[in-house]
Amino acid sequence: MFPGRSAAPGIAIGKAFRVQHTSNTARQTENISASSVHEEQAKLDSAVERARLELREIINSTKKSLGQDESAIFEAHLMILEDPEFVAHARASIENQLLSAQSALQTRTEYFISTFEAMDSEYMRARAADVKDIGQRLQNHLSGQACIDLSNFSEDVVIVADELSPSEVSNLDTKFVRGLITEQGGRTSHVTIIARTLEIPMIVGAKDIVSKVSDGDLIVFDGEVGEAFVRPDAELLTKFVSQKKQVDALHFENKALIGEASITLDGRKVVLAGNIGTPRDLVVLKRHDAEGVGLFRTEFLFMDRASMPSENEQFEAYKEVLQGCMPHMVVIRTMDIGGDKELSYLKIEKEDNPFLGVRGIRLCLQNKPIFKTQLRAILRASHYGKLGIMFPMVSSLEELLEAKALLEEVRIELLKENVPVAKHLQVGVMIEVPAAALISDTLAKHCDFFSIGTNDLIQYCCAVDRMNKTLVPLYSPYHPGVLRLVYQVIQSAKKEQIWVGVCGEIAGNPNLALLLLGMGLDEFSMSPASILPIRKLFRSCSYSHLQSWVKEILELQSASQIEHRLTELLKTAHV
Amino acid sequence: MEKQFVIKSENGLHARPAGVLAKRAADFKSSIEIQTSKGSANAKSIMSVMALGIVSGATIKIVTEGEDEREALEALEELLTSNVSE
Repeated sequence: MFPGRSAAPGIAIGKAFRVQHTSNTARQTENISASSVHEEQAKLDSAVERARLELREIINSTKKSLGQDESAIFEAHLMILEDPEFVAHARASIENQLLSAQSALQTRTEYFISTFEAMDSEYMRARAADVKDIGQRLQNHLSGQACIDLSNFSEDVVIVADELSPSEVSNLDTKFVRGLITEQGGRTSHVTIIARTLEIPMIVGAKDIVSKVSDGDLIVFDGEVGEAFVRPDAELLTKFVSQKKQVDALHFENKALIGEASITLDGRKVVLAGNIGTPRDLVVLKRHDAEGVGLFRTEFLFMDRASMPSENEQFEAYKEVLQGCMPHMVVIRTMDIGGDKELSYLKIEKEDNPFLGVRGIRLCLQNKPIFKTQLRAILRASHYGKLGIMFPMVSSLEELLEAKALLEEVRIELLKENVPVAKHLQVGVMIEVPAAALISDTLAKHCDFFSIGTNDLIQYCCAVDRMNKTLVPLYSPYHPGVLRLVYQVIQSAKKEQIWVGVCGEIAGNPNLALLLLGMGLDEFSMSPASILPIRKLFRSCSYSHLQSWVKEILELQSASQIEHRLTELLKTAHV
Repeated sequence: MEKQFVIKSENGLHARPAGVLAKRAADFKSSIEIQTSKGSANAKSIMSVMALGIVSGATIKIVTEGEDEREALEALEELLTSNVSE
């Protein structure tokens, strides 16, 4: 057994395919004569040119298969290729030190790798891996060696490698590669992110495994546990095979629901959408057959960076998601900064109660130029898909009206500039403040939809900090107070004939999803992995039957009573 | 021309801030060097800037030389004092 660390979940069974990178470090420095300088420089130039072309191609193909964020790794490689102190420096040392192209490049690559690896930061060690990857690519071109190719297998394999580079996994054979094991690598490296996106189980940090297995050895592992077994005995293999069968069966059952409507037996049709954080999640949405996006958190664009994202950068991200989700709707939530989410480039006064402070729409209305930039980017993107725009943390009618006025102002600005903006777009309120739920009848007159953000609504409604571990039992979605508020919001929406959704975790919780369906909720937005199981559940239920639960549940007196009763009812829900 | 700065950003001059700096530096014709107690680097090279491992609170000197040395120094000053951070 080889212990490692879990990097991507799933059960892997396959024959070992070993990948051992030949290290270049053993090679001696090669000197050249002054007369070959031009020839060596030309070799380097042509290797750089070919690497550049390859990278452009990889960027295009990964953008399609994995999304913008993954292709960004290769954009970074392009930047490294063009850094004046990298290849250009190596090129100069061919002449200055009379080194062969390979030696000059190797010296420079090793210098940066060892410098970055010595730094006390996971981020910089990941940059060392980038330099290594691009260095290897250039060396391959210089020596005429082919890249390690993992794109074409004919039977189930588990790749066992000393390490894997993003280049190597960028065009992995997803049909036959059943698992990935590396000796090196942190859990946050790009390769592990790609593995999770492709849903290929992965273990990292399995020491010395490459030298101890042979090609063709059977390997099994559970990516969640992080232990690899080589040549398992019959008993162990049976265990893994049956585990995998269970997982696959579930997968298969769910897969059968792809393309099916989210509809009850008696014809009540609802929308099952996904919550996403970046355009990269588009692949995941597709895989789980989401009917649009009910919550696109835009904070990712603003966080972990030195300055505000430009209007264009935002526009590109919104446009990508809107286009990718057609013909479904995408609800973009305007930035919800503040609370626990801070930005280094935006001064926010220290607050005693940040969750009750300047966050969401409050922050936007206090920083109008920033807000307007985002609204411009969103409106420009609206031309490319079906847009819903939603304001977070609204607690009063005035805030909604002010935000809408700004949106209109920006829309007119754009029209004056002859920039296309969608004629039909919907404006909604994220209901997460109890006061907003209580005045939902008023708010409903001024917007096109509600999306109930239950995660925060529970916290504010019960006055329970959801991060406080000792208060966990008090933070309950089953609290009758919470459910009454939710019901009130749904009724207000019905009265004004606008649609209403939930974008908190309860939308993917079978008990509560059925109750919400019975209450008349129109849209359920959840983590994409929950969509197909919930669709299956809804398709087996009768809406009129669920409607009859609502009154009874709302009359119960405590969270535990409600949870208990819903669990009981769930068993009888299937007709 | 040259000027000293104290790095204020919490994470020093790593990652994105290094990239922002290198990109801005590349806009100028002058040579631009960052000098620290540990060595110096071409400010136009994100890799060299990152390799210096400049941490928060460190003092660095920026030396510009060339036809647009004044503009270059001013631009980087603006960047560094506007709290470049992650």
